[in-house]
Amino acid sequence: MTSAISVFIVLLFIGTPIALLMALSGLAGSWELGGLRFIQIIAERMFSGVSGYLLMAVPYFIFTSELMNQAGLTERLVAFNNALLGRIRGALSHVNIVVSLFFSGLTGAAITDTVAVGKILIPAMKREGYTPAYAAAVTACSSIIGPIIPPSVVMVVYAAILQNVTVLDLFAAGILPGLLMTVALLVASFVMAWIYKFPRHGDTNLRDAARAFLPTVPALLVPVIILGGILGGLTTITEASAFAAMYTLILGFFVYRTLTLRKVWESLVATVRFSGVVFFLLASSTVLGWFVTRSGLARDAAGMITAISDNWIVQIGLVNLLLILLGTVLDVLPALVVVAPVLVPAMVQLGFDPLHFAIVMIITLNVANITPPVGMTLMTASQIAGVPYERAIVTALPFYLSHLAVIAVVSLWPAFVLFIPSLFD
Amino acid sequence: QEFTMAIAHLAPEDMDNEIQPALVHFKSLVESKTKGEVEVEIFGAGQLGSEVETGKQAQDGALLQSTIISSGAMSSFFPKYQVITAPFLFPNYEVAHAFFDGAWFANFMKGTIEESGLRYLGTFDDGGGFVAFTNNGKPIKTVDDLAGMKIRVEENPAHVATMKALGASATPLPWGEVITALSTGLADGQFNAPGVSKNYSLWEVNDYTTLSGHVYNSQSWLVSEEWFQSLPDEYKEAVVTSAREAIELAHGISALAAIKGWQVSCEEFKECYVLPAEERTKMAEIARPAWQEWIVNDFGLDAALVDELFATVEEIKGDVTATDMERYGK
Amino acid sequence: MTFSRSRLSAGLNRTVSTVCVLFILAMLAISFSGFFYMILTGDALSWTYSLARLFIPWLGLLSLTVAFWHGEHIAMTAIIAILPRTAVTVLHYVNTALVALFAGLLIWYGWKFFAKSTDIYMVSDTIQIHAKWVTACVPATGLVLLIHVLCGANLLDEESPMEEARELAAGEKDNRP
Ligand code: NA
Ligand code: NA
Repeated sequence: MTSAISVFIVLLFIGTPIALLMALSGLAGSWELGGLRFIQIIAERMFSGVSGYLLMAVPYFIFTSELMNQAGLTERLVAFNNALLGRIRGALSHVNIVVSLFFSGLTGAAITDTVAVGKILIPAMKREGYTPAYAAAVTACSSIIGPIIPPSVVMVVYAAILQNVTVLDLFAAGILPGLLMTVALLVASFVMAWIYKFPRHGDTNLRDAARAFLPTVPALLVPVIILGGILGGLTTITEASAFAAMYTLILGFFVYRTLTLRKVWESLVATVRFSGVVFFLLASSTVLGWFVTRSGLARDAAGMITAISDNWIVQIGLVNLLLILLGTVLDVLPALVVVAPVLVPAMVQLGFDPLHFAIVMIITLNVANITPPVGMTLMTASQIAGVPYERAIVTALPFYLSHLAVIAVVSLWPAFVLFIPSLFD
Repeated sequence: QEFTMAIAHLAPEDMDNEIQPALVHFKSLVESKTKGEVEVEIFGAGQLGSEVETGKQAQDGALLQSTIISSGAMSSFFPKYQVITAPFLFPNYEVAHAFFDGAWFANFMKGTIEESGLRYLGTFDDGGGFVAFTNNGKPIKTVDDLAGMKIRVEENPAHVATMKALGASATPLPWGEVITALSTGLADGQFNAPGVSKNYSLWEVNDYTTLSGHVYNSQSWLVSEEWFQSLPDEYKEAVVTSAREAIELAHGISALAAIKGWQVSCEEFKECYVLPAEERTKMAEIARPAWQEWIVNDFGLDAALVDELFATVEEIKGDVTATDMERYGK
Repeated sequence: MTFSRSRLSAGLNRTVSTVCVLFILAMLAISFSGFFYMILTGDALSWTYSLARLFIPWLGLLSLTVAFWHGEHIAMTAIIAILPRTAVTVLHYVNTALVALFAGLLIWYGWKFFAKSTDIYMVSDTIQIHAKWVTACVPATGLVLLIHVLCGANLLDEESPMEEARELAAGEKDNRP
């Protein structure tokens, strides 16, 4: 145990790539546990980590999202939202949040989602007089809605590792919390718009909005196709996501007429790169995860939680605190791979609903994207905005509060999470 | 302690399945017999990986010493094992248990040592062994009712072949997709031991259930040969005898799961139906030859082995009945 | 020397990327024929699922080298940023050595894993594929990574998000040498 932890900390501080340090610290721990012979686990686990049949959906999702970017969907979404919200004080700030509701979550790496929205909206916001720090904060803090609203790579990965909930249930359970997250961020955005006297974007009427809305309709159908394909009994998730990619291809070529073969090739190459990020984290985290389980730590987790308190509110509060702390140094996927196999069985044993806890865990870890020191999304957004990371962190405080409120509601009110999935039973 | 025997399995780490309690009992037996020199560690719920993955980890006995895997995974380490997937192989539990615990099967399973370095310790009756269909559309009462029905099977070619022979369309899916597939109509039905219907509340996605027993689901308990051979003889004896006792207890526990599962099934499904003997015979007469043709011609197994298997089961059936009558019927 | 070696690394990366793209296209084609067969006949093609998933380990591990090569990884560089130049150089060598170690472990244990694979994937009632075809991806990935290290490819510089944003905006994100 000690060698795993010390290797982890040392490598973290000397700037070793996170995926590499997950594997190496897992190996260090395994070595301590079972001698040199245990090192061989690297081959079997790296292989198993990327063998789940559900993982087929990962490249399909990423390809779909790359195609949507290349086909200019983001611009269309922004245009529609501008037309809809333009007259309201702080329009672009609200637009930034609402666009994130529709966009993303397909790539698994929140950073790409931030870049896609940020490169359009951050310059526009700066032009209208928002501080760069605020533009970065609102972009980053809202881009993490993506993995909560289906479809979502993070949820696919969760279902692939844990296998105690279905992807479909996760997707269904994510809808209400995702909407709540949007509302909570909008509340913060409205309050700040009122305090800091943010500008309006421009006058538009509903007809303009309707006209801007039409071109976005076919693209907004992508999640509907993925969910509908499975719900309607037509197909499995992998086939639905393959179909979504094909649909986007047709859309880009024949409806928007913005795709070219060259752009498709570029999307494919980009898909390989981003899939590589997801798969690397998955494979190497599986090595560390195996050590954590094999060493018996997982078995004691439930006992350790009960030892602290029998009260379920205290228990889930503690777990949330742990997840948030973990999220400060880890990205979402590695945190999920290492911690979920330890925590989930423990929490289920303590009486928590597997689906409810899955959503709590995904939402809480998702905040890791914007918490320092390693908060990839916020780092990215502040670089795009050209503002020091620290200043963006401070400006993001009101949004942290709204995320905390969402975590609290989702944790303490299981029925809220389980309502939509219960409609399918 | 001197030796550690880490065992992986897929069942939940609670006492509602047959594997975990049997292993808990095994642990206390082995540890007391060896005065704690062989420590047993149990990892349930697939914590250390899937069946095939833990099978691989156990092969040389370094990472893991033992695992419990179902017939599909077993066949990927020991292809001949496919022969055990023969439809309607056993008429009842008594014969099934006598077969799995008998000399012929023990000898047959020696093959896994050469092929994959895994030694066979015993067979668990996966969730109760004999399977029941659960499905939508109409209750399955005759073989004709299966015509055109989309039945989910394990990713196991033998099951595909059997279902095709019975006129159904086989949809191989990993377990993780099954509930979704059933609730959405991707598959009309599936088959598993009734305990599975209960554990996963399959009545929420299927209307009907039919106890057909056309397949006997089993899980093989394997231990790394390399690790086993590293033990002193007295510890080997402790492991083997304790495992055999654990298996004997597990037979009863899984039967209880099947009985409970069927009782709840009859309360919860719209209709439950036990396939009568003559209908089972009819199904068997269709499924057997088709399966036999597949396993000999397509899968490439020796026809003599198939005949030997059937003959062995027949012999056991005769022996069991004769002994029963001899001892208790006269 | 350095020039040609880095060209070798770039060429290797292009080849691996292309192979991965072909894997994705193959998977899409297979999943898609399964989907269409289902729509047209209402029946499931039994093998599509089991076949497409065999590409996943290959794609998953090979694409890791592509992500690495492009600097698409996450590291905590906050501490590094405040260290003196020599310390940064030393740490750079340490990290490169760690990548090489990782690649070496993948080759060594991956080869053993490959050689030991005796199991069989049951794709359909008539198609069985030996696991060696799939498990070969582990040592192969180690080898690709090791060649990159030996060619002196800079695997440790994270691509800065700003740079990436600019590339995205210019639509030329994959044209780096
Ligand atoms: Na999403
Ligand atoms: Na963080």
